[in-house]
Amino acid sequence: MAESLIQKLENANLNDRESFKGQMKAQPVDMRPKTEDVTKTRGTEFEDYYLKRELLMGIFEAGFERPSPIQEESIPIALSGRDILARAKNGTGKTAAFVIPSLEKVDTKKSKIQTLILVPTRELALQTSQVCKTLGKHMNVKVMVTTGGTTLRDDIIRLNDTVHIVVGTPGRVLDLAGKGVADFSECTTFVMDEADKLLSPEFTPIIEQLLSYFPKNRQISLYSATFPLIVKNFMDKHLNKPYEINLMDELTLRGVTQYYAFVDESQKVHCLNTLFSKLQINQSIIFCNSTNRVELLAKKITELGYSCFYSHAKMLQSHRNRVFHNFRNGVCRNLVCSDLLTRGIDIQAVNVVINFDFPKNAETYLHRIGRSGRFGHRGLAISFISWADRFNLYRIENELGTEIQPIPPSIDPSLYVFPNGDYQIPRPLTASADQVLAAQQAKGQEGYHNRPNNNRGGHPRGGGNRGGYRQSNRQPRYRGQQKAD
Amino acid sequence: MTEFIGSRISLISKSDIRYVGILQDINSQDSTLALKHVRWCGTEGRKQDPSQEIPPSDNVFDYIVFRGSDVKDLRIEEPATTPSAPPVQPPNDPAIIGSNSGQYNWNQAQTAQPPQPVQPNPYGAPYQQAPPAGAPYYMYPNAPAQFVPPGGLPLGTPLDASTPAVPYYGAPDQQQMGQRPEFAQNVSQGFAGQAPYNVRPGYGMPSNQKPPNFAPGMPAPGPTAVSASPSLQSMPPTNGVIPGAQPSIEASIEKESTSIRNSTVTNDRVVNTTVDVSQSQTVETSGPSKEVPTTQPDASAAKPRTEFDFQTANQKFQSMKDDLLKGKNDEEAEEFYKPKQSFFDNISCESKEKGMEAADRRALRDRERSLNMETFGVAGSGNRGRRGRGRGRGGRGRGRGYARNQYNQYRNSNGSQPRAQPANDQ
Repeated sequence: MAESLIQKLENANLNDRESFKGQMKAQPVDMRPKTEDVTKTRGTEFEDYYLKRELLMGIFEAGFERPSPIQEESIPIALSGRDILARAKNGTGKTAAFVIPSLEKVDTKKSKIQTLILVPTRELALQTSQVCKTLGKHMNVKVMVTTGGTTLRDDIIRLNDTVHIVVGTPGRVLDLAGKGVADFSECTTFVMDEADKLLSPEFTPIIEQLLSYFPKNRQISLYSATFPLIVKNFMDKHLNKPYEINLMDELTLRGVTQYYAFVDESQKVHCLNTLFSKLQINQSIIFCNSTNRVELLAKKITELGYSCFYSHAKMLQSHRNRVFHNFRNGVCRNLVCSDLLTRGIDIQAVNVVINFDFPKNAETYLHRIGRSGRFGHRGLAISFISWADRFNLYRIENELGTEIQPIPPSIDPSLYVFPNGDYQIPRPLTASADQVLAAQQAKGQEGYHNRPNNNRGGHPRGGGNRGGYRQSNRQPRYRGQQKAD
Repeated sequence: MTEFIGSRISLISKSDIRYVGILQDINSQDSTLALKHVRWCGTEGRKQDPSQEIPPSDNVFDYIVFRGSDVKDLRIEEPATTPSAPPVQPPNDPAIIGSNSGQYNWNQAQTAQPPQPVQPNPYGAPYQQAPPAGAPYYMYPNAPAQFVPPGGLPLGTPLDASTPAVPYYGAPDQQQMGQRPEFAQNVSQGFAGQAPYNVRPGYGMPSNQKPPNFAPGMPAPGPTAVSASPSLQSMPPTNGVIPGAQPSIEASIEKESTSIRNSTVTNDRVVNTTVDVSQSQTVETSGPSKEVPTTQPDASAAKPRTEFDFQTANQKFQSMKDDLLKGKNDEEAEEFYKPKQSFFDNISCESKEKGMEAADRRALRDRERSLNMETFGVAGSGNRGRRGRGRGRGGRGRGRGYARNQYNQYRNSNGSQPRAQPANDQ
């Protein structure tokens, strides 16, 4: 009797799933060919994890078909609650690999923070929180993103309401925890994306402090494409027999073809101009080694007659957000940036990465070139090598065990140009959600709820500082405007 | 002073080594001077102790920046071949709001001309006040484009530029609008604030114009709009003929010429300070600077007309690389990533670098400035000291800049308990 009941239940469940899958307005499927970096799976399906139905709906609606290798490995372990150390290549689905189990474990009836997802940069926090919101769309889960560069007060107000998942950058999260505003006492899931960056000497003290606000039985998961030995200390100290997932036989992506161009420093702009005219760039990210150089190059590019955005850490956060958002939405073809956007940023339409300045270390190089060739697609990475970079080129090639070839006179488009055909490059997950985000960003707030917008009125310190700087008559018009606002 | 740029100079450092090269830049702020094509002549018997003598070398260095205080002697061996003026950094004079004239000369990289004149931006004074220095024109909307990404137009094809980029900045962000209404109107001008707003021939170009195919020898099409305007700013009005310039430009140049005259006063200051830097009698006799008319830079030069020859460059490099590899093959044994043996890798990374970077900040900055000079023909983006000071536009932003600055200090002293978000400081 019981057996038949169970049988019935299972049938019902299955039918149910089939039916909702049919009802959903599915995202157009991205039909571009993919490399085995993302296709070499064991063939499991998302349904196999017995996820909540609402979550599954979100997953399929976002256009996910089946788990990528890292998702396949990591979701079941993460659901089991064990600590995780996971390593997978750039752009192979790590974010969903920790977001899906995090969402699954959230109990939306409990109004406590249950998951913290920590990332190293603000842009990445925005992106990750967006993924959470999209996948958890039908779950009634409250996701909050909190980063530096926004008003603390807004975050405090936001935390008066229910928050289940916090996505943020370390400094601000610690700030909120330290003030007792964010309560992590029942937060059992602690995920660090780009974990090696978060566990660099710069951040580690913050992370360790933050951990003291967590319950004893918390699960810590570390995800990244690079794990230097330096992370091991933290692991030994804070992780409990972590389950290691390593899907990287080699460090670099299969789909990304790497070239170098030997170019005199004074010829770099010329060289870039030539690339612009020769390559079929869908969208490109161009990396410089300093904020100054980002701005100088961006200006040069305009002079050459091409449009570009630029972004670096010394810009206002609201401007950074806008650049990021608009570039993701394809408003502009080229983005010049510093290493601020080296990690994690997922813009599928980027098919060319240019290292205008060659990076100083292998780690940075690896993450930079991983901005193209997302999710197993093809892409191009071209590095300008000046005389001073020659040793670095050799060293990085050697360390990554990869070959960076001299740029050929002509580059086979099949290496990086998406073939014409019936495919769809996914833009940021669900346009509607993204528009909400955009609207929020435009207003300078990041919360999930609509709140009175009060961080525009003036930063408390801003007022105090007004007189202190630029007392000279340098900016009369500017000052006049300040008074006006 | 200006006439010394481009001269062949012989310089003896405090370590008695003589260098010969072409004077490229004198920076009074950092007390540095830069030579290009520098030959290293060694100590030539100047050392007391013969064992310390350093022999000359045949290597020619592309570009060397010298610290002014370490220069013992300076001689001009050969005057500049073309009359030119040095791109001296603007003196720290409140009267000068920014000097973009020498700095934003985009032509020199291509023309290989000695750098451009030095008058603190003739047009600077009246207009620089407009947008706060260093406002983040983070979009360069030459060709604003709502392009449809799939398929990917070849970049050579023009992004549709017929729609003005205004909506971008003029978007819902009221505060922005309030801050710089002029920017909203001039969004398509790239760097506002460097030129009179009404003198923008470049960006008014027929925007559906195709970016040129860079066939060798083919002149850049049309008014070469984009490059025309910035270079105009740096030009003294003595040049009547500006290719592609519209009448209005000339008119407004006339209008502005008074301010140019005025600016020569400051020019003298520049001279004085730089003389101190170089500590050289020869230079000192040069007297006050004259307005040296520059040669008319080819307005189209900012846009390279030829294709960069990747192959030749790479071949050159390949041979050198082979040499490089020969020596290194022995140490090959080191292993950086063996997934079978260890989860962790040993590749070079930022956290390993941190320790080494503690080096002299000033030296690093100087190095970057000279590198920028080489790459872009400009040492800085005109946003010096922006952090914490100039960062803010409008009350809020400024406050943030201040806050951040404070925070940095805090962090430096305390290390562990930051109050704000540590930014990824790249």
